[in-house]
Amino acid sequence: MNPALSIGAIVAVVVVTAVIGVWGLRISRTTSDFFVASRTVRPVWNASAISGEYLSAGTFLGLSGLVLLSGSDAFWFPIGYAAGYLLVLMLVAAPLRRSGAYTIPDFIQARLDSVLARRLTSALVLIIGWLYIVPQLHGAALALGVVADIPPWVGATTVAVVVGGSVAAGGMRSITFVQAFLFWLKFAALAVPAIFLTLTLSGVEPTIDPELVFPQNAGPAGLDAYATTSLLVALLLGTVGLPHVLVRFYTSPTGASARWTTVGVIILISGFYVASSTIGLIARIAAPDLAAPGVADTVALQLPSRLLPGPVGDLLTALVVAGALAAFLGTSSGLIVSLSSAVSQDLFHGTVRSFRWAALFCTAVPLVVALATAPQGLVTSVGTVFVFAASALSPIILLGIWWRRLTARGAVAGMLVGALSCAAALLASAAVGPSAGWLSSALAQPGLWTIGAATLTTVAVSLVDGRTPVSTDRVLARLHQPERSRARAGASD
Amino acid sequence: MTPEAAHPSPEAADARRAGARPPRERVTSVDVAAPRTEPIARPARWEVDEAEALFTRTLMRAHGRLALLCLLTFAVALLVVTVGMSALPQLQAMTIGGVPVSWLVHAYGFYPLMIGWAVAYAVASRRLERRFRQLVEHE
Repeated sequence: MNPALSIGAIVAVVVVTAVIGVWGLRISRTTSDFFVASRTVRPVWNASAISGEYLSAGTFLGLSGLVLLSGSDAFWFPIGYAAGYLLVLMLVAAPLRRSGAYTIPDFIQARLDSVLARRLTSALVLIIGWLYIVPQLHGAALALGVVADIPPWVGATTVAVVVGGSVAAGGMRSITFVQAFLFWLKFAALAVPAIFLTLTLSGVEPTIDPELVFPQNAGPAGLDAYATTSLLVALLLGTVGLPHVLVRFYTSPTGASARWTTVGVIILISGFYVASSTIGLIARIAAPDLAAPGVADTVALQLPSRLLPGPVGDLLTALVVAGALAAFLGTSSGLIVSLSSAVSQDLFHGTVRSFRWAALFCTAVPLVVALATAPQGLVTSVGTVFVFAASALSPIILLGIWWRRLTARGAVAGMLVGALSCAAALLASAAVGPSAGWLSSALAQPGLWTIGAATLTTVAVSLVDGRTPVSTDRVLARLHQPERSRARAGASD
Repeated sequence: MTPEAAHPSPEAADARRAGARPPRERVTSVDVAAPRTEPIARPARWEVDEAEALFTRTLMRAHGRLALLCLLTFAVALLVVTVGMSALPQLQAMTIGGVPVSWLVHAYGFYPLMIGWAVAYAVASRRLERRFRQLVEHE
């Protein structure tokens, strides 16, 4: 492959991102622009931006790697990521938009009228965000290493600097435009090569043996019911608990438009996952030799030049590299926007200057972690973050919207039980290893029981506590009533 | 000539330059706490009257029922496709372009389901809210 072309693609993406960021800054007029883009983003743009933020290195590079490595089990990840938005649509999107809060901690405080619950939520949001950014930086290091033999720290640092800088400069308004652009870049960067490679493969005589390339025990027939269910539940609920997913709904004008935005997101990310899964299937046919941990995640970058030697392959590689970079930039900048909002609102009363310092701080910590650790499988690292978010935050958010008797103590207890049991299970899983039968399975995929434990704790403690906030009725009315009828109710005050 | 041009104050000049849009606010120099445009933490009054609380509760229940119905039917659909693709050996044996159909179903089959359910839910919930809105306006 041709490193000059790929490096050119990287530079082009960074420059375009910076230009859109600066252009967005010029029209970023008010403090409200800065934090929530003044809540005027249209559904199509908002859906592109949400998708741009959501599709990370995990599915851009990691999915095809995991399909190659472990078989059709890998498809559960994108299915769970996309179906998570179905849950968001049905249970969360409109009420959270109507809550009028900026961040998840804002929402929790407003609902429960408790500073302690707010602080705990902020801490969890920060942990989840950082855990999510680390694999993005690892992916950047991996991708740049493949295309141009660049040392890993250069790739990770480049992405961190671009993201931290552009977020600190432009805030939410400019990031919305950047994200929307990055989504379409990512989509094109997988869909175009997928089409080219499929045409190339269908042109040659099928010399592959389906039994060998797609063995039955690596396919849907070799399904583990507990692990699959637990993973799917965790991925679905995890989407609800991700900090950068929810903050996006605050930028929709109304609850109803937040709902249609979510429908748009499901359509867009489904399209992306279809392209990404296609690359995974092609990888099994064309690059079985790359099926080794650590190397497998680079397969999407290597396929074009393998199947199409010459300038076409080089151009396609450059496109994939650009898309991969877009994946790292998109997810990490979205995360850093929401983390910085949370940090600046919590510690510095939400001024713009504190937002900028928070952005730099929130970028530096995961960069240090990424430089100090070795990359694991990208899609499973991201999956782990979903399990943690699903255990720690999702039960509280869902109960906060739908259950009137939730109390602050119940929420705090539930968050602690969910976060600690999930963290303990994942650490124990590393210690126990895969050979201890059902125990290994329960520890490696703890979602089903940790989410259950968090929910039960929250409900039990809330019922025993019984001190529901006095504002509960008021807040729930606000969350669930359509905007126009609320204006009417307000007028009759 | 616009009315602003007759009074050449800095604000007016800004407004004119911006056309119909609000005057530009220099966010870096005016570094005050971000105003929460829609404050929720401190509502004007804590008590809501009986009728409004009942209205909210009914609306919540209706929406909750709709969401549960959609989620349960979606779960059933998911289960049917999953069991179908993993339990039917014919799908593993049949291939399209060298790829077993069961793999193709796993890779592509679930997304149309999600899109279908998402659109159906969004339409149904819009109808629900419209009905509730009419209820309020009739009172």
